[in-house]
Amino acid sequence: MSSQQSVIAGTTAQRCHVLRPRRRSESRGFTLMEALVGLLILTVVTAAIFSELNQVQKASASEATKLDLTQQAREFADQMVRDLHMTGYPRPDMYSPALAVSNPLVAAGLVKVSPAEILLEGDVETSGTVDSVDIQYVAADPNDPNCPCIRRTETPKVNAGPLAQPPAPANAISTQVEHVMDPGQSGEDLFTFFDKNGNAVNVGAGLDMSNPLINSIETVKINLNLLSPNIDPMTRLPQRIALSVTGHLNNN
Amino acid sequence: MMHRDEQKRERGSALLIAMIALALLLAVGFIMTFSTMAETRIDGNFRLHKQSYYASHAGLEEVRDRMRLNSHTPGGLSDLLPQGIPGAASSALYVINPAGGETVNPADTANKYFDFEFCHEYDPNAPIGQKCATAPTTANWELTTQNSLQTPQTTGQPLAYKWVRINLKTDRVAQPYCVEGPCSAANLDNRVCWDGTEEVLAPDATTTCGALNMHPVYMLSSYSSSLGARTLSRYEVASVAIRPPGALNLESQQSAPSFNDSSNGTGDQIPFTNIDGRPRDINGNLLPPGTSGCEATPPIATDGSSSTSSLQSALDDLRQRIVQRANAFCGANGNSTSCTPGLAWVNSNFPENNNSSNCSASTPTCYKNLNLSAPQLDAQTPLVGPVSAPFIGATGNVDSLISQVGANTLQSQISTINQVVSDAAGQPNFFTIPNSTISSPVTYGSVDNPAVVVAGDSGGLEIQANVTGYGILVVPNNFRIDSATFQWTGIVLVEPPSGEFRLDNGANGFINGALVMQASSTTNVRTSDSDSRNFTISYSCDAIDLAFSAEPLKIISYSEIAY
Repeated sequence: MSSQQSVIAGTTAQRCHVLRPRRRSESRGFTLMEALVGLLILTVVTAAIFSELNQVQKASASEATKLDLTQQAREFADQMVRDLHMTGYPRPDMYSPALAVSNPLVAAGLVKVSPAEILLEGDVETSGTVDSVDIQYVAADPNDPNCPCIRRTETPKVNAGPLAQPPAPANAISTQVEHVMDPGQSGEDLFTFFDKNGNAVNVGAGLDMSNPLINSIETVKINLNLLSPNIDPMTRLPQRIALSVTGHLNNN
Repeated sequence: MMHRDEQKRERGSALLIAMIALALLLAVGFIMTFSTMAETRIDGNFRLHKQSYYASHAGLEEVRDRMRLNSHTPGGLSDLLPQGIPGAASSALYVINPAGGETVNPADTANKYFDFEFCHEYDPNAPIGQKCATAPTTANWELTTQNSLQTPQTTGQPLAYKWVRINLKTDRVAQPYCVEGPCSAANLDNRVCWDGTEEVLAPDATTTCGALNMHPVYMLSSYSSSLGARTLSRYEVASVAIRPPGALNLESQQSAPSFNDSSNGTGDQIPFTNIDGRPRDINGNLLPPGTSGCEATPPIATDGSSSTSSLQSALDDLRQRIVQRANAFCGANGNSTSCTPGLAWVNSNFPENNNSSNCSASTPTCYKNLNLSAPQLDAQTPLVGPVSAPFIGATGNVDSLISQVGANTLQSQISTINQVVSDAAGQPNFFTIPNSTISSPVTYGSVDNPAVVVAGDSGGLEIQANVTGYGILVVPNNFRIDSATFQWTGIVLVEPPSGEFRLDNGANGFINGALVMQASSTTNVRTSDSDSRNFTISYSCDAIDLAFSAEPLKIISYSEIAY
């Protein structure tokens, strides 16, 4: 063992002795090989860094889109819930003698409902004006690449039946939510309806105020399923955002 | 030196690359953090908004619930409600809900939770769409503030609203949705009342809803503040307690009610039963006009012309029989063992028929003018209380005794009674009488805890022992009171198919509130019988309100205000 140790010690001493002139030569510059190796290492490291950066940037962009969509969905849900709260205000029984439901001072409440559309009347802006509000899913619009989408129109009620209100002018139509999943694809209707006991009200393909079943609706659930055009870098699939809110019809 | 410079550059480029990479990573990290925080903030705002909405709702519901309760019940507000129109004296009642350590004073303009909306309820110059900066200047406009029943009131308590204001609704409050449609400046300070089916505007600024036998419509405004998210939501509410148009109410009667008692000789005795439309308190004491929540009604009400005519025929028949009896039993000088003071008065007021038994339908003037509200007709022996005639109350719209109301009025009120009964089913204050008779003394409910009692036998109910009750009693078919004392404070509803209310020998007592007879083809009201004793059907909206005190106020509308 002791002889081996002395050999190792001697070898180390020799190496130290030999290394001194090489350091001096390095200080004069790199050999081609060293430069190439260094460049290779730098390239690999930089590629790795930029690859990660690319992933992070994609994730960031994806998150930003998701954030935008989430915010859109939240804002729409807020607006929708406010609309539902004020649906039917002012009510017909707030007048004596009674006013016809066609009178602009009376809000008819829910006028027409379907799994993809709600037409309602109410002073939704608490502005002293009864509005006719239509919220509907638009599957496709050649002039709007962001559809399928949800659009909302709000127009002051005129003296006519709730189902005979004039169509909203173009400047009163606003797209509230973009990139909405087709209900057939998402597996749930955009709007679902419930009575005062929480039982689902089957509106079929749709019904209007001529059907008394519409009066049993107390709560509307909005099922928003959005499909981002961006690909999630982790799942390699389009990002999906699901948001459900319920709004109570306080004046029904 | 060159070597050293090169060496520095080499070292610097590595550092530079590292710093650039780090800077990029930091930038991306910041962006992602910002995105995440923004999303968190969106979620947080959404949560706060929801929290604020439900807190405001909690305030509305707490106050609405407490408004149904009278001062007998802890926290009851019904005796404390504003009577003046907004801005006047006693026009606003606040229920506050401060968190621990904070002061909530909605009447103080310097307070964090000043009521910034009230000026819009009374001030024609209030800035439209803007917050108020001032409070009313009228003395004592604010009633004594009440505290929320939520305990403990600690910081961060969920659903902590700040205050709820109660005030009367007027047309000014309703603007621009005035009750008459397009608003009229002359009506802006008129009260808005609830008639059971719709809002009605009082005819002038001084008429109260009670004077119209309706309920006032109250505005409840609830303010909540949750870390910057604020909600001011409102209910319009009114009591669901019915206001029957008479003490005895006959819905769509097809056959003539009977007040007959011909079993004791010629003609009828003067009925021992009094039907009295003057308002009383829950103890049966007469109330001076204007001191109750309602005004006097005619003693009997119907909801159709055929019903009215059959009732008029029945009353005329009673008049004729009383005159016949007076003529038969009283001598010209009133001396007769069977001549009661009442019969003697009848006899003396129809001198053309003295000592004659010819007063018949062919000579109607001999009896048709007999005023059944005359105090001289008090047949009770001895005289009891202030009741002084068989039929008494406010002058009706058909004749002096009958009020004829709209076709659906009584039907709607009966539906309301049935709704209360339905709501009470299964509750501790709900009782079912299993048998067709009550043969042992029993008490149902109390002033503080009124009951809902339903007779379970479809054949009807026969009272054979003393019964005392508070609340609502529903009897199918026949309701018969035998020789017993029946004392009911509230509503008695007699349902089809027979619909008979009958007082038999020795029946005593009262129904203080209202008796409602539901439509049927065979309804018969027998208010006197041989040897009947004193029985009073009297009108009391206080007692009716008591019967409905388990029901929360009706929400007429909901709205939200944003400034």
